[in-house]
Amino acid sequence: MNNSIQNSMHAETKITPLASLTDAMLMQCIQNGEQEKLGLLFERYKKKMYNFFMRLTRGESTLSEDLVQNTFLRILKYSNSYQPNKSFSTWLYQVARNVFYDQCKRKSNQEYSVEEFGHREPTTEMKPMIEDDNRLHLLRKSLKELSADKREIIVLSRYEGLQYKEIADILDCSENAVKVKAHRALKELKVIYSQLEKNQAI
Amino acid sequence: MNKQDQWSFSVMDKLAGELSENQVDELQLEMAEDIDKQEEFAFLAQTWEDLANLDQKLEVPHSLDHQFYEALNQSTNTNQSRIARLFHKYSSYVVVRSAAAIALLCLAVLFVLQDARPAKAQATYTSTILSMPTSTSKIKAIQSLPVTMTAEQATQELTSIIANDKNSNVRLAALYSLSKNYLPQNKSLRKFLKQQMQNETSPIVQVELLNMLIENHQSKESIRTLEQLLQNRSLNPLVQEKIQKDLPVLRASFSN
Repeated sequence: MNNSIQNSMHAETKITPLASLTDAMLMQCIQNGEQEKLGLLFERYKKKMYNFFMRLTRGESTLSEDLVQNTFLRILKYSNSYQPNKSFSTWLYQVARNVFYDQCKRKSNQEYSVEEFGHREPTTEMKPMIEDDNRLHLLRKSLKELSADKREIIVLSRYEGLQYKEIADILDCSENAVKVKAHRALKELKVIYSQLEKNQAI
Repeated sequence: MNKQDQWSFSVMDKLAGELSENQVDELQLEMAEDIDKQEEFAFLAQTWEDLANLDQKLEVPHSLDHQFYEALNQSTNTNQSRIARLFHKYSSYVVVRSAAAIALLCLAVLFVLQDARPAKAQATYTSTILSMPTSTSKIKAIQSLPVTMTAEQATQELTSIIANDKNSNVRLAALYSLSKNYLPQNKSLRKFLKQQMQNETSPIVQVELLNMLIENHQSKESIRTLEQLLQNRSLNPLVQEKIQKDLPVLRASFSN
């Protein structure tokens, strides 16, 4: 068999690489019953989601793992509510938030406050290896003291690399409301920081 | 929008790098006039910067992969077995419904085919007649146009034969059929007849066209067409005579 025939046969049997499938395409596959395609979305977003939950839960690694898993299983369960003309990433964050707040409610029902996430000892993963900068150390502590909704807005605007418009879509509010919330969160962070700084001086 | 909100928008836009040069100037002017705002912005800008430095991108633990894929497999199997259970439970119902649906579909297809068949035949009728080997068979076919044809379809078929068949007898037969059975008083047929008067080579067919035009499609334009034809020196004397005879009648009908 000559090379040209071999090449043409190879071209015919060439399969579309899965990596070329967009998120929306994969979601359509899932909607059509190809549930195993969820694995591809998981691989694409697991790190982002894990870090998102780690920030929201203030370093609860086991809980973050559970939340990631629940998020993706919820995607499977409610795949039909996804609209292909909308951003998958935005929808994913919306689902993730719902999963997180459901978890908070469940904890709250078990007389375990939402705010208690931060008062537990963080895992070693979140502890800085060398805390040579006092300001950063105080800021880290301040962030953990921040309320869940304010921490969330800072996580979304500063760590997730999202624009105000995208955050507005996720939170289902206006872009201006996002800016006001983010500003208030930063100001509260400032108050907590100043308090911690004062305590440290004493 | 109050001043505090406007301040919030400006600060957050500045931190995100979304302010234009003019807006930055305005913000700096605002801060220059207010020392508290200046201090607040300095702290927020520093915090914003520090937050980025604070971030640690954590690797996903292997246990997460393991847990997720196990849950996914479980969910897939559950769904499959749920479908299997549902199918088992409603299999007889599904079969009956499917059979009914298929039967309805077949009926619909048959209905559509039956309806579509004559239309298809009509569409190819002219080409069928034109491809017939003898003039006799063509004339017979013209005389027995399908009764299912509408007047519009028949007119279309016959005018097509008049314009395209090489045999004058066939053209004449089509013209007779047209004048006898279908004479829609429309502009397009009148236009066709006038055009055909100029294209037609057979004097007999020309005379018949003339008759049709004068009897059924009188118009001022027809007078002009006939006058133009009279200018044609190669016009058959018989046709010339017919036009010269009919033209004054036609003019008189319009002058009244």
